Amino acid sequence: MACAARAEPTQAELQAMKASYERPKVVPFPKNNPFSPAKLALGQQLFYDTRLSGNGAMSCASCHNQPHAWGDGLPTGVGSKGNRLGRRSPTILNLAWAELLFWDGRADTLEDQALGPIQNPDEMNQTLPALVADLNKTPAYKKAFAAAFPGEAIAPDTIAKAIATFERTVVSGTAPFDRWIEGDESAIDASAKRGFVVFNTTGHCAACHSSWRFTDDSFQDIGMRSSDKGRGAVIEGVAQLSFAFKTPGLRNVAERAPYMHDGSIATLDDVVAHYVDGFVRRPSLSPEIHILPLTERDRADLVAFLKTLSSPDSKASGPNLSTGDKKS
Amino acid sequence: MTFRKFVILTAVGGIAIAGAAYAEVHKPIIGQKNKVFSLQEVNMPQGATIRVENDDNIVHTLLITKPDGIRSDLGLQKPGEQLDITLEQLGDYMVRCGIHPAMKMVVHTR
Repeated sequence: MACAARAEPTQAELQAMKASYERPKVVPFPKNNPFSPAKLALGQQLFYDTRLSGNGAMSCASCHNQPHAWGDGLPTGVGSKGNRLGRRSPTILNLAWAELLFWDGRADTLEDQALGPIQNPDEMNQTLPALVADLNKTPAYKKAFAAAFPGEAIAPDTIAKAIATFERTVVSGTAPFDRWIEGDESAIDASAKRGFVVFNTTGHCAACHSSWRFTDDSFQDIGMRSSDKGRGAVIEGVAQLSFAFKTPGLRNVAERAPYMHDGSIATLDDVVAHYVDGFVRRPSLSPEIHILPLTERDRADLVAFLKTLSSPDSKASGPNLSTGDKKS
Repeated sequence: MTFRKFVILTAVGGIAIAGAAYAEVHKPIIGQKNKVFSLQEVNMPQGATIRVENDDNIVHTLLITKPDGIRSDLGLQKPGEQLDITLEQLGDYMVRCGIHPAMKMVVHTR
C-alpha cells in the first residue's frame, strides 16, 4: 500500500475538528412527551418486562442488553421463538438525538418505534390488546401508569411514551475521547490521536460518522454483500437507497461486535479493511465510499482511536423490577 | 439561510399583481446546503407554494408529511434541481430528506 507522506493538521485545524465532537449538556425530550421521573421508572419497568412478548420469553432488553452496550452481541437478533432475525440488533445508546429509527428508518420517533418489535410476529409476537389487558390486571402497573400519566388509560400510546422516555435516558458515558476533547492530553495515546486525524481526513469516516454521536443519521449503501434492500424497500424508486442502511453511531463501538447491519464483520480491523477496498461496487454505492489510501499504520491508528470511544458504563444486566404481582 | 433567496409572500401585500404571476415571481426558495435546509421553520399562507432547491453537491430526496398525516415522497433531487411544494392544507408540514433525515424543516400554514 502506498505510504505517501501527508501534512499534519495545524493546531487550529485540529481544534476545529475537535470542536464538532463536544458532548451536549442535556438530553432532549419532545414537547409531546416531556420527561418525568414516574414515566422513566415505568418505561424502565416495561423495557425489562417479558409481558411484552406473546410467550413471555422476551423483553426489549433481550436484544438491547446493557452488558452488550445495549445490543445483544449476536450477528443478527433472535425472536421470542428462538428464530433468527434478518438484521443485527442495534444499540439503543444515544437515541434521544436520533433521526428516524430502525436500520431502514421506517419509524419517525422512538414512540413510533417502541411498539414495532412488540407486535412483530418474528420478534416479540405480542398483541397490543393482550398487553394492555395484562398490564391492567397488574396492580403495580395500574399504580405506575397513574403516576406517569395521570388521568390517562393504560394504552398503546402511553406504553410507547414510557418506553421512549426510558430509552432517551440511555446515554453513553464519558469516554477517554471525551476527556481528550475537554483538554486532557493524557486521556488517549499518540496512536489514537493520529487515528482521530485519519478519521476526519484521509479516512473520510466523518463524512457520515459525524458529531459527538459519530453519526449523521444518514442512510448509505456501504457495499455489503447482502441482498437486503434496507431503506430501498421503504422508499422505492431512489437508486441510491437500495442496500442503504442507517449510519450507526460509534459510541462504545469496541463493545458492540460483530458489525454492520448483518453482523457479518467480526472485528474493527476488518471493518476498516472493508472501507479501504472491501466493498461491493454497484450503482447504489454511497458517493462517500471510495478506495481509501490508508497505510497499515493509519488502519491501526483508526482502530486505536475507535477504542477510545468506549465509556466505562455499568455492565449491570438490569434492575430488579419485580412488580410483586404474579404474571397472569 | 439566506434570506437573500427567501421572499416572503406577504411582504408586499397590497400591491395589485395578478395572483398567478405574483406567486410565480415571488415563490419562496429554500436552499439545501451541507445537508441543512436554509430554514428550519417557515410560516406560509395556506395554498402557497414553496420551492426547494438543492444547492449541495450530493443528491437529496424529499419526504413530506402533510398536516393530515399523509406522507408523500417527491423522489430524487439532484444537485441544482428545484422542486415545488404546494401547501394545500392548514397546519404543519414536516419536510425532510429521506437519505439525510437530520436535514428537516417544518412549514406552518395559516
